[in-house]
Amino acid sequence: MFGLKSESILKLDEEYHELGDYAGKESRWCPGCGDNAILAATQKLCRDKQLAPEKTVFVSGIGCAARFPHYMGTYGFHGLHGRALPVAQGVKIRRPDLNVFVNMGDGDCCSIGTAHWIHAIRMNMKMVAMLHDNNIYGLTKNQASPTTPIGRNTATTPHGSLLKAMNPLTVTLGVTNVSFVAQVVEWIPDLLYKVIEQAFNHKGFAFVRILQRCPHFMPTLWDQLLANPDNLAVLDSENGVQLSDATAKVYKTRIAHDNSDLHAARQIASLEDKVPLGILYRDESVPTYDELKRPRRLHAPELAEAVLNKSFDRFGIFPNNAGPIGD
Amino acid sequence: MAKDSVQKAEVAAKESPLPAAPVPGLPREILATGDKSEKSTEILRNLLNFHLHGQRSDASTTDPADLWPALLHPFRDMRNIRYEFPLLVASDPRQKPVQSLSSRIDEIVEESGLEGDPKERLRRHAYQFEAALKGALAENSSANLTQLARQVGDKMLASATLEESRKSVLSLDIDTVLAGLPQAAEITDTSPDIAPKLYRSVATRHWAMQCLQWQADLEQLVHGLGDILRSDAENRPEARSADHLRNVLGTGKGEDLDFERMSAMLAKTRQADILPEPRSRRIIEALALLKAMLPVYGVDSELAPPFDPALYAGDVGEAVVQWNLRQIAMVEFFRALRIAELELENHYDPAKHDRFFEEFDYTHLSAGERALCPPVVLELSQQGLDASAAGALLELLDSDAPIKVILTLNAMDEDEFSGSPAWPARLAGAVMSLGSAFVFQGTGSNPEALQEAFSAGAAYPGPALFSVYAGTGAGGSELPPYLDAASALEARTLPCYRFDPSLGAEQATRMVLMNNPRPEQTWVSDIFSYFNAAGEESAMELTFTHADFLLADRRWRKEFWVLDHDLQEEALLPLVEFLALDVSQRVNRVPYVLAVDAGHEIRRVAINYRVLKQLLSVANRWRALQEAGGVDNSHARILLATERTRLESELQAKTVELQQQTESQLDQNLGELTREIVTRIADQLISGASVPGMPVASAPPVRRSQVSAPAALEEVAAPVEEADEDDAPISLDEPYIDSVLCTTCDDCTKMAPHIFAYDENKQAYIKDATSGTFQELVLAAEKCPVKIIHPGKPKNPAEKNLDEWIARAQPFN
Repeated sequence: MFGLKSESILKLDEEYHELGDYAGKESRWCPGCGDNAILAATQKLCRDKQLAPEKTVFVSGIGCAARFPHYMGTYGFHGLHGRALPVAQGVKIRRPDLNVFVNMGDGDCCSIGTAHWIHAIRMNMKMVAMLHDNNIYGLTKNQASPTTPIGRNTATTPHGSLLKAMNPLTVTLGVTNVSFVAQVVEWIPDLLYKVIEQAFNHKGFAFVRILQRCPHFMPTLWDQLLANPDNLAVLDSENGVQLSDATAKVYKTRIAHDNSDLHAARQIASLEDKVPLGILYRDESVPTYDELKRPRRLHAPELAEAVLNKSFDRFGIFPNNAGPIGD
Repeated sequence: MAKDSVQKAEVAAKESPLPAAPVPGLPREILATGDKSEKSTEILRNLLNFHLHGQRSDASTTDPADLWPALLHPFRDMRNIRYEFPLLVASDPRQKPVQSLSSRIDEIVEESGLEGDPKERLRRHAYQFEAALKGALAENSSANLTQLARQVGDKMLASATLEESRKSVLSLDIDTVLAGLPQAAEITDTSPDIAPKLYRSVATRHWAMQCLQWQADLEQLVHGLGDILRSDAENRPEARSADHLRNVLGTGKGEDLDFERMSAMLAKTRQADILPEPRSRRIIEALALLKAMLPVYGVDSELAPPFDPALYAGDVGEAVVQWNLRQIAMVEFFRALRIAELELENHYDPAKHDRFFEEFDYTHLSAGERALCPPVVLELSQQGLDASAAGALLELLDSDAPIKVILTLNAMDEDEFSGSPAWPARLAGAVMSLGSAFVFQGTGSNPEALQEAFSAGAAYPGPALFSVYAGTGAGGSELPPYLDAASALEARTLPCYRFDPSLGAEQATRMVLMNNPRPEQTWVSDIFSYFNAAGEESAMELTFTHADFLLADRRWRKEFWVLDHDLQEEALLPLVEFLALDVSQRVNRVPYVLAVDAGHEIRRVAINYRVLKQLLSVANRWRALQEAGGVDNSHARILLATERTRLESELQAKTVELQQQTESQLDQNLGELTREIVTRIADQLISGASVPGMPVASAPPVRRSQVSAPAALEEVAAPVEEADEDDAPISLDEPYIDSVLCTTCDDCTKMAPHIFAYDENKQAYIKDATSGTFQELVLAAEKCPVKIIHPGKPKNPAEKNLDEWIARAQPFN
């Protein structure tokens, strides 16, 4: 504020937060669950950025992934089915100083929360939205989600799912004001971390779809990708993410891509034979709603009361021609 | 002169509903008729007596009163001249603060959307309205614009003797003009106090804009502290009392709830922590200080501010007192502000911060904070200043306090005629040499420049001096204030410049000589039109100097001698020619300038030594300013000359060298050519006589190198390949994990927590392979989704079913 802090002579001793400081309760996800990898990467990001735990909020809806805030040592909001985004937006608009993260499952985001998802993209408020996409409702025990592959037998589609799976990337890239879209798989920790880091650095709404294993209900879902890493295509772009040497040795397929080109991003998002990994699209110039809407004057309770009373007085009936009190 | 800015209005003669103002005719030259031979010596003695000693032989005769410098004659009637005044000064800070009536009228015509004849008609009507408004304003120097304009409009309509249809058109046009004029504005003509008036308008607007930017931040801070106190109040035991609970819920629910019981129940719950006493005291104190300053920054508040930011000081002592008061208030305020920032983040550490804030004073304020101190405005006029103020004023202007001094000048002479001290008129130059204050010097005739300088000076984070001459007003100059001020600028009496130290460390960027006509010349000259003695229209070039400026000043009139038309004397010569003479040649010469009297007759006016002395010192000061402002700078000129000489001599040397080179080359070529021709001729002669196949005598002998390459140059042995450490084989016997590829899925750590653990990046590694069985290792390797666990060889040969496990471990090693 007023640029005073940097000019101040006071040098505040900074507290260093370790990885453990960001850990909340012990995870109750199944062993082998991809959520653990996402949790580890996010905690590492918090440590490396030294985010103040009291200035960081994780918001979720309902689902396996929605347990995320419980396992973080920061503030959190475990919300209602599909309602993670509006809660996160509310937090952000009232407290723009907080770092806001949103964790949604594929059911949370792409089914019951779709309306919020579309408008959150358009409003482009600064936050990191992670879509934990394991193609199934895990918490409600093996029910089909919008991203469940066609033909898959689930508790709600015992004869195989009838519809082709939704592609959350093309949906996101189709919405007005989209400013950051990335895709990553949770089993490449190097890439996962770097993509989330870029998403955090982004100025507006950063949408990251994370393909995730569900060892319990979908144990063979990603076998084609795990057995044959060449099916994963890392996007090679100037301001994208750079793989470490160890990771680059394993994942060799590359697609050259200019992530400022929305049209190219949409084409890549629609690829069927390869799974693109990395940042598909980013545009730092899109205006953000939290900046546009930043209140110029504070709405203090007293101020609101004064305004209300003034309005009420217009309809008030005062005995003996006496005016409103205090007039 | 000043033709660019001043243009004559096109007054519609025929249609005008007002009587046309008299347009001044061209002045006339009067032919001398008197005989000169007889009185010649006496006249010369009289003239010299006047010029050298200031004594006039005809002291009894009175000079024509209404005498104007010749070049100013066309401006005698200012009503029909469109220029920068009167000004519209907006009282609403969101509007353009200052605009001239003329430019607003032009804008109204352009914005009307009319084209062709209707537009031209509107323009004429608007110009008539403008002239009428100026006439109405002449009585008092400023008025409420809307009221006066309405009056003038009504008067115009009432006095117009036109057909009904034309009258309605005029009425419509007047309505258009009235609607286009700014609401809530003051119309003000030029007056000696124009500078403080304009400054108030500009500074109020500047301060309002500056406050707007951080009002929200300040309020946020106040409410943030309030929030802390409010939530603390709710945590205190008193908050659990029945009364408090009742108040919190408000009226209407009183009967439904038993607050006593609720209070008793709450009393049993865990007591929340309350703020420690020193912290809550600190917050309350800081909050009170912040709140007290809210009105200073334009936030509505019922509290009385520690000082009134709109209070202007009238003398130096008052300014010092005001500044001291403000300094104390600002230091307290910014201390509270910094404490508030720390408290909001809960970073205030008494051990560390208490001492710092105890010693906190004005020197600790950052540049940004100092910019938020409302400046002290000191309004001074030359008249009232005495010499004792000079020291204090210089000291103030040499400090880093935000004190803005608006100095209104009213006397441009160095003598006692005006009764005002002369030093204030030179103050700007002296302060500029201090180098730390913003300085502006100018005249009231250019409100645009004043406005720009005022807003730059108001934004400057330190002291500023605005030294402005806006005319002498009644009793001084013959001229109206606008012309008086404009001619001070024109005559170099008070040149306009700006010195802004915030623009860099170099003189070239800090100092700008601006708005001075023809800054490269000593004096300005212009074309003067008149009827010559034969009655023909004629023109000549006249120079406008400080002498012309003084001529218009009634207090200086006795230093000028208006000469008879009949007087013919060779010793008399125009001032410019006199100045061009060498000092020794000026002996027995008397300079004169041209003026025009009320009867439009051109008069020669002799000047005496006092005027000449003033003129020379004005020229001197102008020359010094030119140098400072980079106009014909003597240092630069000398440097340029030296460099030019050096370059020229270098060029000459190079030319000579090149010439010599060319000549010697030519000689050489010529020699070689001759030799070759001779050789060829000789060859031909010889070959013609010799046996074919014989080698030509002149051909050089063929030389064949027989020396073989030395042994040392043989191929260098290929470098020995360095062993790549990364490729060093890892022992397959030891179990290991590619930790960097671990996805933290919890599989292995849940299966065998005694063997596997997470490292500082939460990625798995083998903590202790010997604490478990080989079977466990192999099972974990099989389960690992990214296949990064390598079981190695079993440690314990006695383990059961070892063969099977070794076989199953094979794919992972």
